[in-house]
Parts: sequence; structure tokens; C-alpha cells
Amino acid sequence: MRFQVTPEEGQETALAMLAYFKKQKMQVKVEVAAWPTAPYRSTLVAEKAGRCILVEAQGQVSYGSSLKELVAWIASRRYYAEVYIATCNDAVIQAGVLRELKEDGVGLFVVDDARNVVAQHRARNPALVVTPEPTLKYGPEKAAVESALHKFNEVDRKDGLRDMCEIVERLTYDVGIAACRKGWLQTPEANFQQYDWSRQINEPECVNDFETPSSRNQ
Amino acid sequence: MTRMNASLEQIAPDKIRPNPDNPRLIFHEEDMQELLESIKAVGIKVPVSLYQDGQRFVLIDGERRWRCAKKLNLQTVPAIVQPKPTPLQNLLMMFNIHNVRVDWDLMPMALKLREVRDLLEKERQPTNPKALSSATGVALPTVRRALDLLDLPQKYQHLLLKEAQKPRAEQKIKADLFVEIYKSLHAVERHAPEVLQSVTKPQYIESMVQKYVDDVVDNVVAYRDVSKIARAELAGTSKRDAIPVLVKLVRSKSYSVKDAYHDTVESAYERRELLSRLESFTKKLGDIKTGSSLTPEVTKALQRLRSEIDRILER
Repeated sequence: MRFQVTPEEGQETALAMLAYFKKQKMQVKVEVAAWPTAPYRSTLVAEKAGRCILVEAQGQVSYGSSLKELVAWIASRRYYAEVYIATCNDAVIQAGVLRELKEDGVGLFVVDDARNVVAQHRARNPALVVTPEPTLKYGPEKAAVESALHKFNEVDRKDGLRDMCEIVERLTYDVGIAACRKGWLQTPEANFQQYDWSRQINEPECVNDFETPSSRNQ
Repeated sequence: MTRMNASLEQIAPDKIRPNPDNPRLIFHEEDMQELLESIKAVGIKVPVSLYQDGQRFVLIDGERRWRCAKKLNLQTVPAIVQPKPTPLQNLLMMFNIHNVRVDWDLMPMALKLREVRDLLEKERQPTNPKALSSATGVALPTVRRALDLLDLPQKYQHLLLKEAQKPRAEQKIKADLFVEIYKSLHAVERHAPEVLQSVTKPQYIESMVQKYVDDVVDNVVAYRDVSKIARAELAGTSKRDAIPVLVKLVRSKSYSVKDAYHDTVESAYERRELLSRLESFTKKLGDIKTGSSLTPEVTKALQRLRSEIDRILER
């Protein structure tokens, strides 16, 4: 099989990627637009369970303005899609290009001589990117929240999520203890400390247990 | 529907297919990137040329523009739709339109030239290299070189096509290699046919290609020295000495053309060259009139020359 509009240098890589996706039982479309109005057609579009992987096969890695536009176009629409550049083992990649790919969340597949495919770095899926309300104030937690967000969006989703949960658990505890001390919560502080997080977060919801001075006057 | 006249239309890129007769089979990344950026910025300013074939359109001119349009997911491209040509007209158009712009790789061109030759033959038109050159617009020496490639065994034709797919800088085996090897073989056939009683022509070609692949021969023009060895008699040496060396050149993998040249005709050619230079130099000296005023540098150089000549002649 030959790809019609893929330059010669990308043909072998494209073939290897096609075989790779088919092996993963993904639906693969060749040299078509992933969406009718997309500004660029990647070499391959692989789909499975709503997840869409767009691959541009290249001999030498370049991140031109057309591909950049496609990446920005997908990101602005928050599509559940990932864009990858696929290249061969002996391709030379400029450090600047690699940095740009990482910044824009474009992944990199490398195909070795035996046609094995390795994801050198993973693409970012814009549908899964968390963008908090920009006017939110985090106060003293600003650094911790930003770090967790960065981890979640860019590095490791699980790890980022764990960090976020830890922040929420810690703050729930702090708020609960403060409420106990102020007498807003009927629960003794020692008991509150023993609660697990789900009980800690539910405790203030219980009207009988939670009374601020203003609610007492109502 | 048969079109009688050309018309300018907007055609969806997906309805267009490339022309199978375009000998420019290979498109490299570097060729595409610049055009892609330009079309993205300003669109397609020059319409592509097509002819209609059923529901689809076939490219006559503008394959790179069409490829870029597809990549950029353009909905339509401007196109001049022409009447459908005959197969021979189509092939000749490909040559006349494309070859003037970009140098095609010789092997794909040779394969298309063969098709032109066959179609011309069907129409009982002349098919000699000169006729092919005038029909296709390809220079006569290029036609000759391309036709030589058609005599290559299939495996070398495939090898050349495969190499042509690589970026130019990475291609090692090029048509020039075979052109040079064939020239040397022709010289051996003409001036030292005895060599071909000991080795066959395919053996000769295989051996010469292998020497190049193994870097025993590092430059394609080195094969020109084989022709010089074959013409040993012209250099004033015995052909009997040259023949076993040429046979050895074919049979021994590590024996280079340079070695063979050194072992046979190198000194004879050097002598010939020296003689020719001396004759020309002597003629130049003869043109200087006796008593002419010479610059001190020239006088000094002539004195050095005289002492060298005296030294050589005394010996």
C-alpha cells in the first residue's frame, strides 16, 4: 500500500503506524480529515471508543504552521483527540521542535527498524484538560493548586488527581476543626479528628450539627 | 460526457487522482513543506490542470498543489479541465509539462520512455532516440542514458527505483553509476572483447556494482579508467597485459579500478600526457623571439628548467 499525499520519507513510518493501530483493533482512516472543517489532514486517524488519535508520519520531524493550526483548532474545541507525530528511529529531532511539541501537547511516536512503535512522549487530550475559573482565588493554597493542576494536565493525571484530593481532604479537615473550635459544629473536636473524609465533608451539611451565629439567629 | 474545450472550474480535491503516467513518482518532504505553507497563506493562485475520466478527474499538471490542497483539507481547488487526451498524448504531456521544471530521477523516466516508445511503435512512428527526444522534449543524451537503463536486469531497475525514494542526499546507488558501468562495459566489448570470453556481461556489471557498494570504488567516474585500460593499445601498451588485469578486476572483490589502472596503463598515460605537455610547451617557447626581454622571474624559471633537463638527459 502507498499513501497518496504522504511524502516519500514518511511512507514506511505511516505503514508501521497503520499496522500498529490495526493490531490494537482501532478503526483507522487514511489521509482524510478527522472532522469535515479541520484545517489539516493528518496521515492517519485512529479511533476507538470515542478516542481519536491523529498521526502525522514524517521522515524528519518538523512542526510546521499547518500542523500547529490543527493542534490549536482541536484544543480550542476541546475535542477528545490526541495529535502525534510519528517518525523513524534514525530521525534527527531538533531540541526546539521537541520543546514546542511538548508545550503544545503533541505526542511523538518512534518506529524502530523492526517496526516496533514506542510512544516517546504522550499527547495531551484537550477534552481532559482542566481549566479552572480564572477569577478563583486560592489564597495560601495557590502554589499547591497550580502544581496539582499542572501535574494533572501535563505530567501524570493520576498523580495530579491524587494531589488535588489531598488538598481538598486537608482543607476539609482544617475547616472542620476550625468550625468545631468556634462551636459552629456540635461534634467534639476529638470525634471530628477520628472521622474519615466523607464524614468530615458531610458533617457541616447536617443542620443539627452545624450552627454559625447567623444561622442561629434565623 | 466528452469535453471539447477547456474550462476553469472549482473541483473537490477528493475527486481528483494523480496521473499514473507522471514519471515524477517520488515527492520528498522538502519539496512539499514550502508549497504547503505558501498555499496555506495565499491559497492556490495557479489552477491545476485536469481531464475528466468518468466521475473522477485526473491530474495533468499540479500534483504538488493537489497534494497540499488535500493536506490542508481545502474544499475545492481551481482547475482547468481539459478534453481527455489519448494515452500517447497524456504521456507526452507529462514529459513536456513536468520535465522542464524538475529533474526527474532517470529510472522512473526510463520506464515512462519505454511506454512512449511502445505507443509510438503502435502508431508506426519512429522510435529511435532522436525521435523520442523530439517527442518528449528530453535532451538526446538523457534519452540515451535512460534507454541504457532499460537494459539493466530487473533487480537493478528495482534497486534504482527504491533508491530514488530516498532523499537525494541519502541516495548512494544512482543511475549515474550504471551509466558509467555500462560505458566501461561498451569500451571493454569494443576494445578488449577477449575479457568477455572469461567473464560474462552480467558478472561484469554485478562485480562493478558490488565494488561501489563495498566502497572498493568510491566514485562513479572511476569506471572511466576501465575504458582507458581496455584501450591500452591506444596508450602504447600491450593489450595482452591489460586483459588478465581486467578479468582479475571482475573476479576479485577487493581489487579496485585504481589498482587495475596502476598495474596497467597508468605510466603509459602519464608518459603520453607528459609528451603532450612538453610539445605544447616547446611550441610556446618557440614563439619567444631570440633576444626578447624577459622578466627576472621568467629568466629564473627557464634556468631552473634547463638544469632539470640537463640532469634528466645526462642520466
